[in-house]
This record gives sequence, structure tokens and C-alpha cells, in this order.
Amino acid sequence: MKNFLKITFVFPVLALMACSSMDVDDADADNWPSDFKANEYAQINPILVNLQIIDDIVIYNNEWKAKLYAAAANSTDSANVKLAISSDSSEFFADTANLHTIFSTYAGYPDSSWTGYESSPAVAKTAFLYKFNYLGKSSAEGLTSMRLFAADTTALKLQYVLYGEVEGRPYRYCKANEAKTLRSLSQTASISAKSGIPDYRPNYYCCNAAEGSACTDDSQIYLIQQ
Amino acid sequence: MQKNKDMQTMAFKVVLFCSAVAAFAASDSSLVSRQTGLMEKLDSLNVSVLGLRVNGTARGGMLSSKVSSGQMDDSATTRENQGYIDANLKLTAQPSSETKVRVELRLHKDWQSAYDEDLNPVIGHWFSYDGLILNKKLAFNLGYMRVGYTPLTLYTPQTIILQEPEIFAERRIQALEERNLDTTSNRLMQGLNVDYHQGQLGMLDDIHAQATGARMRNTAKKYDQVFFDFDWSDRYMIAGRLGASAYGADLGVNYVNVFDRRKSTRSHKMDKSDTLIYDDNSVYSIDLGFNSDKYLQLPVSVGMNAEMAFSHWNADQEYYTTRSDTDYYLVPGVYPDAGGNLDTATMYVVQEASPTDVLETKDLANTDGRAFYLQPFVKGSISKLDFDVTGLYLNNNSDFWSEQASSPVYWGNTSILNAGTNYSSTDATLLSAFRSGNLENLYFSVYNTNVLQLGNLMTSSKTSPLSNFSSSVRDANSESQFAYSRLYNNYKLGHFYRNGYDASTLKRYEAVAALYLMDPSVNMALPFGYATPDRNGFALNLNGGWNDFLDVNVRYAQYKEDEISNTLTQYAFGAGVDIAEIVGLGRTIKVQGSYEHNSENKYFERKTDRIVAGATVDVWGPVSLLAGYQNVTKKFGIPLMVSSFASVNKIEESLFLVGPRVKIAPASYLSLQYGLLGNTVTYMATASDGTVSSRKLDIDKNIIMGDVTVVF
Repeated sequence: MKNFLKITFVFPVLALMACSSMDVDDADADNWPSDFKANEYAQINPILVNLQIIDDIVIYNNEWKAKLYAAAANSTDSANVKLAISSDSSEFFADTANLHTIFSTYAGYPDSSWTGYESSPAVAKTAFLYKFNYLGKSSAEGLTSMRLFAADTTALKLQYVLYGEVEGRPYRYCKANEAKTLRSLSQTASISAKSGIPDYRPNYYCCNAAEGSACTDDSQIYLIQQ
Repeated sequence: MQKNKDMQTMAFKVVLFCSAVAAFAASDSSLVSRQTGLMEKLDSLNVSVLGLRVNGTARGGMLSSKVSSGQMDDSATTRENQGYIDANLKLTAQPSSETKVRVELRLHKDWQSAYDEDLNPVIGHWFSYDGLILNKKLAFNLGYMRVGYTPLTLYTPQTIILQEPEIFAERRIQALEERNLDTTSNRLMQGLNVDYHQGQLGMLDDIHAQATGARMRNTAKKYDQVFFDFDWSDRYMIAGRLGASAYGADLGVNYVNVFDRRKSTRSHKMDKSDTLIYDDNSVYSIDLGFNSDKYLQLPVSVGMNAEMAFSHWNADQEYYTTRSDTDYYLVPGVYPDAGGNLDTATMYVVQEASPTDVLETKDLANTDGRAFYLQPFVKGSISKLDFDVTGLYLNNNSDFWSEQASSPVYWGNTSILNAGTNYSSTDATLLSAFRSGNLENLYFSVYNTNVLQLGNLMTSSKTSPLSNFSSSVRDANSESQFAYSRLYNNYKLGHFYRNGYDASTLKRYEAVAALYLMDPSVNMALPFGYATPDRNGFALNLNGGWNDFLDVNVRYAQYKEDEISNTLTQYAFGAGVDIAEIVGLGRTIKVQGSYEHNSENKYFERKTDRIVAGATVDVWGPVSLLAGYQNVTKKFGIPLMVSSFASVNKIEESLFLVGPRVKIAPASYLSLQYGLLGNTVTYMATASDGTVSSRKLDIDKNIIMGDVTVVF
């Protein structure tokens, strides 16, 4: 009898435990559309990955410089490091074939403006392009690094719920016959008084482009019919 | 003699019956028992004297040691002189016959530093409040105390030298005394001890309960190889036991727990590179004793002692680790818009790692062990023959750990005489890691007062105060940027020891490390006494005496160390003859000697031999002549690597000590002694270019000592 009483005492606790969900991911998943995939989101919006690449190159270059300066024993060595950096940048801009790829693919400039830039490089563009230079790597090696860059998918996922969803950023490719209603400001529920940003929620948008290619134009963005 | 033979056969039968036999006998320290006996007589005279009493000893003397060796540095000092007056005052304040306060003070004047010192500080080295109250049923000690329970719980393994001549025994007791130690198996500690004896109760002869609490030193950093060595952690011991006796049998249960108190270290800043080990050790034991003496009043008594103990040991490691928390921020990214102009309209998420240092606690180890011993004995006195035969069967598993029963008080590995002598660079690499002098450590101690200077004043600071104080920006580690101007402080003089004995107990990790360099010529088979982990074997102890003039001892022991399949063997025999007793002179002319051998067949394949010889002769009236000789050999089958540059093969030591002792007045003695101490270490030295050569370091010391001792 004593033991039975001890056991019955446990029942309400067991019942409580059975009803409560221990799975924290469940609640988390509600924040994204059920078919959200970070990789697909990255393909459609390469700009988000390119910004991550720029940050990555900054870290890489700082480490590269710190290592050389740490090894430098005297002021002559330090001057040599500066010299190495400047010759590295000359090489970067001399390799025009690869620079062209960086220009249009990673720096996100319209390909049509390359000829204009090549003939008379604008300072702003040059400065921005230089952000894609890996110190100590040739342009070809740098491009390989960029191609193989593993995007921070957690950051991409967070970007979608924090901002992408609000600004009506497409998160997947449109399915057949889905591209019917273009994204338009009339679909916004409100415009945030504080930031002046239109809030497209709770609508979701898709990109009407070939699988694997980026959404480069507003005319490719369609409302997903709920 | 026929009778004697019979007894031997009988003893042999007892041995077979018990399949076991004894290790250590208290009768080896005959001088100790005589001294204790004398002190007890004095105490009983004094016990009724109320009020304040002053006793003590005063000694004035000199010691001069000259070292000679072919391998000393050119600039080495070869002679060390000590000239001193040392007074040890024992103050006893006794308000009633039941309780007393005891304070012992030492005053030491070193003539070498007489001109340099400002003040000569008196140090107190014993403070206690003791009593026997409640109709003499409850004994208590507060402050300094010596407490022992059982060999597996609270105990001090002793150093036993068979047939140790008086000239050696005296010196060893003196060295121990300087550390507040004695030759009993009680442990020196500071705290509170309460011992209650009920006495006769029904059919029981006695019921008894004891509780002890003490603060331990954290030995890792406070084992004072250096004088100022700070460590903030506290370590405590709590212990208790209950016992009952009836019909000549005793039954007891014992418990000891030693633990580090974590909060004490946390209250101080911890370095990021620091690792602290918190150790917690508890031992439970049941002991059982029986002696036929109680109800069989025969010339021969039989009995046995047994104890079974269970230990639990836990070590936690506390250290700093870097945990990286990742934060995500939404930030505007600079990127060209559709028209090719840079803007910040694109919001993207960046990741930022913020490293923080976290204090982590890891459970390093948890072990449970068991130890057991059974010790049967036969004691008797038939006609003119006295004998006692003790057997021991011991079985301890490798995870048994009982800290308070394990640490011996003899540590050795210290430089005592001529400590300031410099040796050639190759030999210095050996000596910086290793000191071999067993005989020097057992029988010599230097107690002196030194003038403290910036150079010898050590600090907790990691960088040298000598190199750091001059820095224009005050270094956080330096003692003071005003170090030089503070040199004229009030406490210029400090008391220092050079002594091979220490009352510290070692935690398990420390003990394992210490075991490596532990002197194999002392207790090689059971370095941690009965509580030595991983031992399985037996011992036989045989002591016989005939007509007060012949005294014979035989020892044999064999233990297995299962984890490394090691077998440790010990055998020894000794004999002492009082020639005066044979001839019928009313004085002592005692000649004694012994031989002891210890060996193992695995591990370092160590072999040690000790030859002891000595004479104590009452020459005429107040004049006695004391002499002693010892030779110790330690061989390492597998060289003991003491540093990456030196591995020791063999150590040979010898000590010859001789001199007269004259009773110049009641309780006053003059003693003059000459000693020759030899020490040869054969080792393999590895030079910086990798070449290995066999080297021999030979050190001889000529010692002249003289002192006058007054007991009051």
C-alpha cells in the first residue's frame, strides 16, 4: 500500500510531462514559411552572401597582415610588408579577366557598365572592387575561395525573419503558374512610422527565374498565393 | 638453550597457522620508550602543581661541516659553521588539575648573524589547551595535538631502523623535535580533539567515542622547500570513531574525511592559466582486536588485530576555459544598387563571436578502494626468555587511498649540511633535481636564524622582485617599487630549518608524484605504511630477548604490487648484546648491529641494503662513549631519471659517528661528536650534444659537533 501511494504521487507529474512539448525547434520553425530553405534563399539573393564574403575577406586580410607584421623584426621588414601589400593590389587590378568576373558576379555591378569602367575606372567602384582582394592570393585563387565560400546559413535565416520578410524579399523560386501577381506596394499592410519601410507581411514572395539564378529585377518577384 | 629451540619451533608453527606475519615493532625505539617513561615520571610529579610552570631544554653548541669533493666549482665554499644557543621553553599554565595550557617557545641565537640582526624574534611552536574533565572521562585537546586512530584511517607511518644505536637515535629524535614531531604513529595536527571513555558499563569494559576536527595545510604549495610560499586554499579534516571492549576484545568503527574548501580559493584572484585540483577523501573502517591476556594469566599470550577499510576519493579540476558566444546583428551592407551606385539599403545579418572566460569544474576522478590487514601475535616471557612474534597479512587494492594514514614524516631529498656549496655544472644538473643523502636527512638538521635580505626574501610574485622594482611603471607583480627604501624593516631575522622531516600530508596526486623520488632505503615495501595502495602480501616480525643482555630481531616481508606485477621483498635481522650485563657490571656496554635488504623485481628494480653497527659504552662514572656506523646502498636496475640530463644508477652512503657524552651536572650533558659522511652517486649524464656518459659524484663531509644540553 505504501509503495502504491508513492507511485500514485508520480502520476500527475507524468501526465504533466506527457502534455508538455520538449521540442524547442517546433516553436522556432513557426517563424519561417514551411518550405523555406536557406540555400535557395541564398541563390535567389546572392547579395546577402556577397556581403558575407566581403566581411570574410576583411578578417582574412587582417590576419595575413598581422602575421607578417608580427614576424617583422625591424622597420625595414615593416616597410617590406607595406610594399608587398601594394604590389598585391597592383596584381589584383592588372588581372582584368578575373576582375571582370568579380565586377559583375560578386561586386554586383551591371555587366553592361564593365566597358565603361575598364576605360576610365571610377574611384568609388575601384574602392569597392578592392574589397574582393584576398591579400597573398592571386585573383584566380581569390575567385576560387569566393566560389567555395560557405555562407553562414544561420545569419541568412535570421536575416529573413528580421528584415527579408518585411521588405518582401523572395525566398524561393516560383512554381509553374505561380507567377501571376507582381509584388507591389499596394500589398503592404503598413508602412513603419519609424523607419519608413513598407511592411509586406504576412505576404510571401517568390522569384520567377531559372533554378540557381539570382533575382536581379523587381519584375521577377511575384506574390505567393496563399 | 633447548628451551629456546622449542620456542622457535612453536613460533614457526604459529606463523604457519596464521600464514602471515609482522612488519613494524615499537620495541625498536627503546630510547623513545625510555624517554617517554622518564617524562611520564616527571609529569606525574608535576601534575599536582597548579599555577605556571616553566620547563625546557637549553643547548649551546657548534657544528662545523667541511665538504670535500673533486667535483666542486672553483668558487664553492667548503666549510659551513654553526654556532648557536638554543632554548626551548615549555610554559604550562595549570589553573586546576583538570586542564592546562601549554605554550612552547624557541629562542635561538646564531652567532654567525649576531652582528647583522636587529631584533631576535622568539617563535612559538606549540600552543595547546588540554584537559581531562568530567571525572576523567573526557579528554580534549585544542590547538596543537597529536592524534592517531588506526593504521588505515589516521596514522603516521614511522621510519624504523633496526637496532639503531643511541648516537643515531638521539640525533633523529632531535631533528624530529625541531619539526614538533615524535617517533609515535600519532599525526601532528591543529584543531580540536575530544575523546570520551565511559569505563566499565554492564558487561562491557569500556565504551568510547572520539571526534577530531583539524585544519590541514594544502600541501601542494606549502610543503616548505622554500620559506615563503603562499597558497590560499584551506583543507580540513573531520574524523570520528566509536569503540567498545569486553572480554579482551575490542571493536571499533572509524571514519576520516579530508577535503579542500573551494570557497577559500575562490575568494582570491585566479590566473587564467591556473588549474586547481580539489580533493575529497573519506575512509570508513572497522577494527577488531583480541588479546588473551585479559582472562588467561599465562606467561604466553596470543591475540590479533584486524582492520577492514573502505575509501572513497574524488578529485575535481577547476580551470578557466574560453567560451565563445555568438551574437547576430542586423546591419546595413554597402553594395551597388541597380544603377551601380553604392548604397546601404541592403540589410544583412553579421555574426560576431564574443569570447568570455568561464570557470569550469570537471570531475577528474572518482575511485573506491578497499584495504584489509590481519595481524596475529604471540607474546611471552618464559624463564629468562622474552619473545614476541607478530604476523601480518595485508591486502589493499590499487584504488585504496587514505591520505591521513599515508603520509610519512620522513621525506628526505633535502640538502642539509653545506647547502650553499656549488658543484660543477654537470653535477649541478643532477643536484638541482635530486638529493640522495638518506643518512644526512635522517640524522642531521640545521636550525638557524638568517638575516633576511631582498635577495633571500622570496615572495608570491612570479617575477623576481630584484629585477622588477626598478621599472618606472610599477609592475603589478612586483613586491614594491620602494623595495630598497623599505629594507630597514623591523623583522630582519627569520628562523629557518634544513630538515628532512615534515608533518604535511600529501594529496593523492601529489603523493603519486612524490613517490617517484621517495627514498627507497626507507620503507620501500610499504612507503605509505599499512595504507599503501596495491599491496598484497605478508610479513613476519620476530623479537627475542634473553636475560636482558641479548636482543635479537628478524623481519621478513613480501608484498605483490599487482598493477605492475611487482614483488617487493624485505628481510632484516639484528642483534644487540649488553656485554656489561654478561660480566655483571652495573653499567651499559651495548654493542648492536643489523642488516636490512629491500628489493623489487619490476618498476625501477630497486635494491637497497642497510648495514647498521653501534656501541654505547658507559666508560667511567659520568662519561659514556657513543659510536655508530651505517652504510646504505641503493641500486636502480632501471636508471631513475631525475632530469632530462641525469639518470641515477646507484647511490652509496656511509656515516660514521663517534664521540663522548659527559654528564657534567644533574640533567646537564656535554656531548662531542665527530662524523664522517660519505655519499657517492653513480649516474648517467646526457650532455647537450646528446652524448651519454657515466659519471660519479663523490661527496665527503667531515663534521665536528659539540654541545652542552641542560634539561630543566
